[in-house]
Amino acid sequence: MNESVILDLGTNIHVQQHCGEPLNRVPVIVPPTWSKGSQYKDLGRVWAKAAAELAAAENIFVVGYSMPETDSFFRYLYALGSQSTTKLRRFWVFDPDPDKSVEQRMKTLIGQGIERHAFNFIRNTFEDATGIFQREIMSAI
Amino acid sequence: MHQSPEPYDRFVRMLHETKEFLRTRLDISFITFNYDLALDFALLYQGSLGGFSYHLSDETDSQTMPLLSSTGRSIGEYVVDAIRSSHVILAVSPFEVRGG
Repeated sequence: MNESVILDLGTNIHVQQHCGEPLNRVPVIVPPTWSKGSQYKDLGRVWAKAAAELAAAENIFVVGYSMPETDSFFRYLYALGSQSTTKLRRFWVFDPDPDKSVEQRMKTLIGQGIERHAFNFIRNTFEDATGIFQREIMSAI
Repeated sequence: MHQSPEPYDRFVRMLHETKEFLRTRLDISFITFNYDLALDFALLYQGSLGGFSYHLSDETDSQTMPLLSSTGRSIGEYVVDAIRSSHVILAVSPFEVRGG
């Protein structure tokens, strides 16, 4: 079934502007599926840019994202982005993760090499992470 | 009045303070996987980091921080850009922020 359903969600979106043009009031919503494929080709450059940024990154901080088993998109994106000669200095994850499942999934994602030299898992929230960010960003630059 | 949740305001303020302290351009990208606009609002309304871009077109200003969303929200677009010397990437999922 391939039906278009218009969701007129943003009654005020059209009064906002981007680059001098009014925004389209019909929003783009991409469901959390593993395949964000050809029907979303307009977003391809965004995802390509995301993969390129991951590839160029020396420091990756993951905040509040538990990488659920059902969302494979990040795995594929990270796999693309990790094809790089850039040496990763930090892959730090911030999550309360009470049952340690997030930590295990992240370790599986990155592999033993990165786990040994760049991985750090910090059990706290976004709010609590701000101070740590500041310290690490300052030391990274 | 648009307003981002306080943790996001605080986060952007921290980036601004860090930038001012270091007197340099922060090389940060944001990659976000969520549907809300909390980070967008914080970056837009605090306006202290020199702008950001969703990279929806090829003509995007390379000097602005990328804010890249896997969910393609059109007014804004999950946590990662940066600034070019040390590339910091941040993935933020606001729906999972406890107490946020």
